Amino acid sequence: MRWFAVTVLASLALVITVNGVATLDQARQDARLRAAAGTLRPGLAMVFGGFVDERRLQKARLEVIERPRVAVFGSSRVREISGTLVHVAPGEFYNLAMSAAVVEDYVGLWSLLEKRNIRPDVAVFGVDAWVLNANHEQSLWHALAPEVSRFLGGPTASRWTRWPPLEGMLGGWDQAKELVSYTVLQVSLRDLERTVARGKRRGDDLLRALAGDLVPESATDGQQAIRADGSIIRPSSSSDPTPAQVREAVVRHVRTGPYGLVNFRWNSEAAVSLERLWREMRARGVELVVFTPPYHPAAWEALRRDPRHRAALDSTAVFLARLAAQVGARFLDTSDPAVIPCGEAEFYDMQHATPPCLERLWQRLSP
Amino acid sequence: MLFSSLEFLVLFLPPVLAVALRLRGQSLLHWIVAASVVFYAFAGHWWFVIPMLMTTTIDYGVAIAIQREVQPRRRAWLLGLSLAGNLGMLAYFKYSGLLVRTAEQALVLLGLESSAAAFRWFEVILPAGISFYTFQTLSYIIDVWRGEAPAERNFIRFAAFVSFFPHLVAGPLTRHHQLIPALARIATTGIEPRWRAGILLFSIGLAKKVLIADRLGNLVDPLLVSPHDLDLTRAWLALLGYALQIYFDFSGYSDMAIGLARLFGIELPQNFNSPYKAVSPSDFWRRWHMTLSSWLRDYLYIPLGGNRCSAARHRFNLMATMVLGGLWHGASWTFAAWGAWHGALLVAHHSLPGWDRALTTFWRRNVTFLLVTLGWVLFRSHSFTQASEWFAGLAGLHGLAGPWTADVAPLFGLVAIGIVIVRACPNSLELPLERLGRVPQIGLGLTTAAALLLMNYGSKFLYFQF
Repeated sequence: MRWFAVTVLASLALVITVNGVATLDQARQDARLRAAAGTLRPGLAMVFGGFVDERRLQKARLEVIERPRVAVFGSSRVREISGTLVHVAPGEFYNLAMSAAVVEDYVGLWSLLEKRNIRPDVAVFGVDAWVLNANHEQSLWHALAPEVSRFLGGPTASRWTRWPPLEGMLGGWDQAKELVSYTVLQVSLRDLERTVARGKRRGDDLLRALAGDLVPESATDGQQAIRADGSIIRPSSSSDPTPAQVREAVVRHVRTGPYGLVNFRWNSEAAVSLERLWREMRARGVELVVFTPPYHPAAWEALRRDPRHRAALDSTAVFLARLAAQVGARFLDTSDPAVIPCGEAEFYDMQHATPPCLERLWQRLSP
Repeated sequence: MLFSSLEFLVLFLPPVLAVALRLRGQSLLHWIVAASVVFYAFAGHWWFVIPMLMTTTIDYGVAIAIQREVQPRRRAWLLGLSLAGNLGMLAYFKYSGLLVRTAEQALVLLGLESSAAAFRWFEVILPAGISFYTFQTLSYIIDVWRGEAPAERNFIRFAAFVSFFPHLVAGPLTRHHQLIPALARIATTGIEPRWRAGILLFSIGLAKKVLIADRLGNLVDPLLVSPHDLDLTRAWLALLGYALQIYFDFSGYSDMAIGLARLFGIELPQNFNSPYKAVSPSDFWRRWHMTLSSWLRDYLYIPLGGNRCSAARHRFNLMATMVLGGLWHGASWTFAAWGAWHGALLVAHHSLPGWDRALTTFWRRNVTFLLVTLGWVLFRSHSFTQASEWFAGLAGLHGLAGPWTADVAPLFGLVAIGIVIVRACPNSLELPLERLGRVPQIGLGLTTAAALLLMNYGSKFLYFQF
């Protein structure tokens, strides 16, 4: 019995130490990021090149922004939706979309909004079919693992919101539980490895950009940038492909395996998490609007021709329609660009629509 | 509250046990009942406690009244009152949905869709574990009525028998003679915990549940979302995976329950005895969910006439017992079909004596395992359509083998490990836990630590729904 007890306690102590050290380091880094994120004010944009950890940025920004009236959840396919584009006053709109976002990302962001008590009145979800594909690699969300864990793994505190002192105590308990969470351990080990091996900590790129690359929105000079409302400005140049070139690339891409739809297999765990999230949001009085982002017309045509892709898109739309009806959300299936309508010239590639298309999409979503 | 949660292991169990170890007499029993009520209130909805307390109070009073009454007719009336109360509550919470769905479907078939729509508002939440404690009190009342057991006069002791939290929500189904004397003993002498045997068995159960059953569930569930896409390989992998998942899930829970009871100085009955080593369908039911099997035998099969009757009547008794046993697991006709499948296996086994003598033990085990495993298709499927699609996949009607995707390899590996464990390793209750050596202790310590880390995303126990 002694050896058993020593092994269990030593293993747990090791995990708690690793998670504890990583959490402390992360807390220090987060504090620096938060301070820097506060400098990104309306009218300014953060220019960036290459990879930026969007999840870290959103996390930092959500610590400093005012409560938005309207928030957008989704992937890079809806990141160009800005307050200006949809005519919502500055400060009242925030775009939470992130590249390759999945259900865990939505959950993590909601958890952050809840934590700061800045729930939006309206949440607009652009849900991609890949979020329900169990065979789609989904790992970027691990940057939000503690927040996801708080909602999905330990919502002890959320049951006692009417008793603030108890809620506070149980919130502390939920956080303490993360110290013995395997998910948090994975993130901690990656952080420690990065720190030890490369001497570079998570979020360093972001800190540098926030410290020196803030420019007026109108002066991004064709470079990629993030606005203060979370939306992005795409890079542009004279060598952008023509609509014909885009069409050719789109058809080729669908033939070789469209992003996120390859080997589509229903992810029941993600479906359950999404349902739980939306029920919680509705219970908190948030109005939900759900849509499926549009595909390039040629991509849509090719996807519908392939029975596997058609089944994936149909099962996603049917599930979203049913769930939306159950939780009292508005749903519009706009995967087919003709529904909006958007033309071939209004897409950058297979699945990223341009602002004019997104603006019309927004108008369609309005009641 | 789940056994495999940090809330249970850190916030609930240590204080409950620490206080219990300092108490004796009625105050110890009061404490056990109070802790069990708190545990049950966190098992789903707080109101789950109400039907349990109603059952406890009614059956406590009825048992005493039956014992006092001398007139057989009045005794029978009192028994009828208890049966009506217990079975009525079970019928309402568990089977009303099935009856309403069946009525709705019948009306639709008759072309009366508008009348069928009126039923759709009807939805009843099933209190966790109601099937377990109802059967437990039923057996007590029947034994008192038969004169085989005295009525318990101490209300708190009786309440502790019904609600004792280690077995409350998913068994083992514990009879009054297995628990009430033990509760009386610990009330007199105080708790003498069997720390080593209790903690180590609990840890084995935790590892079975978190490291094997939950991992298998994560891999099998997605496959079964679209059974019409299951090729031969995936259909069989899903079936074997589920057969192992349900075994490790339920036997893991039973191990945890027995281990927890040992910490209170109480020995709960064994529930699993390596069922996948069974050499015949009858042998399987002597090894699988043993406490339910013996309950069905004593309170259903034997009262129906057992095997001391004509061959035709014996077959009927077997079928009726197994179909009702199937329906005990859930309010769906697929559970009844699962019971009928096992009834048919038992009838065939009794009707064809000697069929298995031609086979070696190895092959008898494999044939029994195959037949039992095929039955899980009906058990796991939500509808006969889903079951028939799965069977079609098992027969290779949806193709032989699809692409070797990332999820197949881990499922294949886990199934292989699971089969080795269930076929080659000793049963957890056979392990010499009191004399476990240093290396096995370290090994069990590591698996327990891994289970504790992974259980933060734990799923519910499959048998909670029954």
